[in-house]
Amino acid sequence: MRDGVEREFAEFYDATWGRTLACTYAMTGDLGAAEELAQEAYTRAWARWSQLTAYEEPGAWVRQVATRLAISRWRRSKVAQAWFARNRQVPVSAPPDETSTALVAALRQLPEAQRRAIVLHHLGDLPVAEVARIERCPTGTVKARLSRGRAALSLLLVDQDQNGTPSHV
Amino acid sequence: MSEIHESDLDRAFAALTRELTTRSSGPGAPAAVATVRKRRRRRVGVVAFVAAAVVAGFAAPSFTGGTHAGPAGSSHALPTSAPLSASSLTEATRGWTDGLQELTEANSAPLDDLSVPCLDGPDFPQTQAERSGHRMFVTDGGAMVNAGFNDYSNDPAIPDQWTSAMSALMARCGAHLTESTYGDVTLAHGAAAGTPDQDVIELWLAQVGDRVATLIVMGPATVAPADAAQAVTRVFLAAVQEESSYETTSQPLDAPHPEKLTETPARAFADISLEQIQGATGTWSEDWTNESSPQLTTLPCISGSWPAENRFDGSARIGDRGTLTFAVTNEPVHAIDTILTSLSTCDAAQWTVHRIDHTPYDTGWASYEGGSVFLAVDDHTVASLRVSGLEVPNGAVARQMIGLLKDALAHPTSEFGTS
Repeated sequence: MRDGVEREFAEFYDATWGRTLACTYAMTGDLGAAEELAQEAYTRAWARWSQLTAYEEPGAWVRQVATRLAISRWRRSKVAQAWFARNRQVPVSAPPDETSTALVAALRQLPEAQRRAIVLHHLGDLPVAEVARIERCPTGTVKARLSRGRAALSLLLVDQDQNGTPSHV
Repeated sequence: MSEIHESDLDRAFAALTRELTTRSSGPGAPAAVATVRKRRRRRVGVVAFVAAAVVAGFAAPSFTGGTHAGPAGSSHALPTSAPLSASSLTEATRGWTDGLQELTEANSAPLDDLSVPCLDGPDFPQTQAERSGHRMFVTDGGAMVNAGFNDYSNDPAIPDQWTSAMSALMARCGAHLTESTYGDVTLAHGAAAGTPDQDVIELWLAQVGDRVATLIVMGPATVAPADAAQAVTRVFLAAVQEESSYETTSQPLDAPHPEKLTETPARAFADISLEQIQGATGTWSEDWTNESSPQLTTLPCISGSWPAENRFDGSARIGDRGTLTFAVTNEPVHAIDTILTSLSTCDAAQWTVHRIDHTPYDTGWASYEGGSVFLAVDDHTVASLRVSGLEVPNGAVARQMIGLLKDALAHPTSEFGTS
């Protein structure tokens, strides 16, 4: 019985891993960190699998958790960076991963708030209101960030195309 | 400025997803399952620890988080004393949780779904209760009730510390405790609603004289409705007054099974004396003094680093800077690694960890600018010596300290003098 449930979870994992990883990768730009965050989301999913199977789209739940973890990590990183800055240490954040795709490279050029809004809404499948709750801002602000973020992405991806860098669009 | 079209963006993200899928298949579902099982063992062990207060050897508390309000209103009448039972809890929680059964290995599977990470690594009073009882119950739906009853006649200061520590713990979980009085019993109650990362957790804490008792409910779908909360209060208060509550203990999940304990009886170890440490380490220990204070050595992140299945058998104070503990463990192979790995990720202090050798004893030590811990484990006992305040020892000193621990483990009879 337990084996059957674990098999079901493994199938779910295999089917949804890529999109979850895309969420965390788009948020962090670091594939190693992205894998850690995505795996943690699946760990939490298994811890409540019996409830998740009743959901219409358990994958959306996992992506929400993964993106929240990525935001949490980002906030902790900001605190850590501030501390290190005060103590005149070298920055702790890693440079962009060399494996970044054109899209992620473009996302990383967006202001943080716009990038989070884009990823949470378009990759994480979160409604605007939920993004606003997570970001602790009005829905209008999220809508504005989405709009500006998409506009900036459009320009960045066009620039990459013109420079010969393959775009996903 | 024109926006990228949403459908284009969706296609772009789909392409990114495909690309990443070819790059990484992840650690895999079995790894997630294994992690959950490991955490469950730790969590249940931690909760067992919270309720049973078998705490000798854990880090000293930082009693800073009291968030409970003052007593509210006049005293209520106490219910008649009665033991806690699955049936009484089931009746009290009717309409809130499924029926409760005493926790056993056979009905523990639903606990796989339980997620209360805020309970990890609590800091609680060190003193072993003079008497304690501990009961654990579970529902088919995965909710759990964990009740502990502790009599601290041996150290009346502890109940106040417990209340502060539990308040801090519940605040970490997102709940605030409010107090009320029932006769001579002070009752604190609070609940934290569930989040995507954490199940509902609800606490009742009673303090009367030298006694303190907790009842923690984890994992129900919602916090208790008012009528259920009141019913649980009465069942709990009845058990608080019941003498047998302080002497009745369930078999905690993942604790050593009775047959294992029979196979590995707790051994008595003599304390390591201050003189032995001074003899072994020379000038490093010059600063130690003889001190009979019962306080245990406080070091950051030690409490969360012990394997939860440990059953601590006692501790000894050495000088004014050290504490020696011996603990039974179910997983001797991993015990030192677990502790050192946890210390290496400690946020509160910059621990440097060292593994010295792996046979015949797994040993290691860790230090930061404020203290050190030396560790050795044999087939089922972890010996540790914590030292605070002295400078970071060099490797030779560390080996000498660990040598004392290894000798102690190898000679459980009283070959050492006591401090």
